[in-house]
Amino acid sequence: MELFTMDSPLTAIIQLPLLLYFYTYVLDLHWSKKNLISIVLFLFLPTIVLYFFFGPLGISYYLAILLLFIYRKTKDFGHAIHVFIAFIILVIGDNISNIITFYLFNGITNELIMFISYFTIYITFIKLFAYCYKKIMEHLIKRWVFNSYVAYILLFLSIVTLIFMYINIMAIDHDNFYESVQNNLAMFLIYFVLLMISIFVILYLAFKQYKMKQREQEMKNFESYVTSIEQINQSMRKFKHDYINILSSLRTFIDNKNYEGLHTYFYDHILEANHHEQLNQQAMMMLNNLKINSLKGLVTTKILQAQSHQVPFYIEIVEEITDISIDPIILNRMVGILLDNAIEAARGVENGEVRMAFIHMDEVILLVVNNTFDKQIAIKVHEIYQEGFSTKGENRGLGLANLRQMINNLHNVNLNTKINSPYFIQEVEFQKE
Amino acid sequence: MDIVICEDDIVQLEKVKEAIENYAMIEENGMKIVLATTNPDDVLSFVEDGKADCYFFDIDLNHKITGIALGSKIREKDPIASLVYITTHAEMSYLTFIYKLAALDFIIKDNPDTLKDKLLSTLKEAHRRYLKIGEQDNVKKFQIKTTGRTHNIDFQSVYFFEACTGSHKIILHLENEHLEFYGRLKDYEDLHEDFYRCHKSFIVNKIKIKNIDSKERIIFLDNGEVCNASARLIKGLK
Repeated sequence: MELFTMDSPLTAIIQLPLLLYFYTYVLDLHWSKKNLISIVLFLFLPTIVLYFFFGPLGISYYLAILLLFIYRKTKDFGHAIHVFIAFIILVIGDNISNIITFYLFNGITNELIMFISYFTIYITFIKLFAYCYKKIMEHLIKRWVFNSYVAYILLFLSIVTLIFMYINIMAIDHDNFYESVQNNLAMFLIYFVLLMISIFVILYLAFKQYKMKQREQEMKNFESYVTSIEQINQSMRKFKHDYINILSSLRTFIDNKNYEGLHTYFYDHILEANHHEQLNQQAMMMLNNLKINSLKGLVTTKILQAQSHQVPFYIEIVEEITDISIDPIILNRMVGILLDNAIEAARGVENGEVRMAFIHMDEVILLVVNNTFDKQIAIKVHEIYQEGFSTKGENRGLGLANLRQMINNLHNVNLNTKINSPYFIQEVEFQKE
Repeated sequence: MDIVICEDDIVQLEKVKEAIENYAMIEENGMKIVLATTNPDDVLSFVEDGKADCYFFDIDLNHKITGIALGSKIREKDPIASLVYITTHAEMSYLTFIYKLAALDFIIKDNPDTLKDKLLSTLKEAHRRYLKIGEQDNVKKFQIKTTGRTHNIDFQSVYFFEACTGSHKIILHLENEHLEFYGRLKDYEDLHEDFYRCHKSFIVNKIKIKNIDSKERIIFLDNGEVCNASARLIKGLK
């Protein structure tokens, strides 16, 4: 068997690192020296050996082990989907490069030239594709995280495609290499176009559904805002009604010259009752100045949530906030994460409280979220951004890591974090247009 | 330390004035009230050609100038004087004042019992700051301009700078604080002799290094944080 032909084992061997390059680039992985050695030992070498014995079937070993490596590195099964889709693209790239080389050098019999040109085209194609793929993924993830069922459908589709391709590849007639490849490619391309169309339809539908859910949530949030306003209105009316009663009871105390009784009545009944209501009313009045409706609803929901946990929630919006120049969906997610974390940390802590403010500064709109936390836990700022960090058990700490990621992707938003015991302080700076 | 008070309610004004004067008399630490008035115009004409070190303002002054506007007028002239607001619960906008006017503190006047205690503790804090202003030149500092504000950072408090991949943001890591701002690492690596560019996207403060794992190329810092180093640049740390 000649070495420098396009269907030689060497071709397959060179393709192995290319695949690895693809994932490394798309997933932004960094391999240490130790990792690389084990990749060569457990991934490349066995695959080559298997390839000699079983042909293309040996690649399935490569796939399985690569999945394992990537899982160990990223701890996320979701990345399997990149592996499968990339594999499909690689096979198509291989076919296209073969055909182009064949037509370009039709008649030239120098296998080495064809071999080199094939790889040049192939590598260019892979690089180009990896770049496009990464950009598309970044865009999708930035706008919205894949929900699980979309990921499963895509995973299923890509696995089926892969099996289909391998049956095809194994059926290649080596005596009639180019003709087979050409037939193969035609079939692949038709299949691929269909696959792409269905993936886009699925993504489109999923995105629509996601947006609808978002809207629904916004509506719900806004409803709770309206309900709170109504409640305040109600209690105002009640207060007006009570006012006369209060005055007449004060009068009784004064007429009887019972100043001690007046003292207790005034401080314990009137001022106390007032304080609790005041906090609530003040919060709602401040929300009047927030002119972004979806955010207004969200903040109301969080205020109510804080109240149900007996956490005092102070909010300050002294000047009107009409416009924050980022995607409202992302803005809502960010504020949601900040407030959830603050309420969670202030819960059950003595003198626990949450303070939030939107402030117009010269160049930015500043969002400050402060909360008190359990002083017994010595938190460090850098720890809270690690995935999975939480002071309250497992599976709760994803929020802040997500927040960090979102802000890294936004060029006009900055996040400052400070721990100044007893306060945990988060400042988000939104640049004004 | 010169003190100015502005409060529209004359009874309240006398109360605050008396509390401060008593305190100043007992402590004998050079505190003195240079102006106590119900009219904010008096304050404005006072700062025209003079200055005080500590200002106590009510927020609602029953005048077209509010305590807030008065505060920002003072801030234009004097960025370091202590501003203290005496206010009712309902007007309380704690964070807004802290961030917009760098107010020192708030005193809630709803409860006369705690008013005096709070007044004195705030006064002490203002005095502590006043004394510190003179010492500040000893500590070397540099300025970071985030989009919103200017931060004076002590060289000693820096752990490391980290550049974000994909955007022009830098995160400055301090003991227990992360500050994010726009810039290029290049502009910060020569700021101080202890700063060392140990990686394409990191500048570490050498005095904060606890130990170095040169095999994995990780630098461990005193506060438990870690940063990366590149194979080539880690050699400069040994």
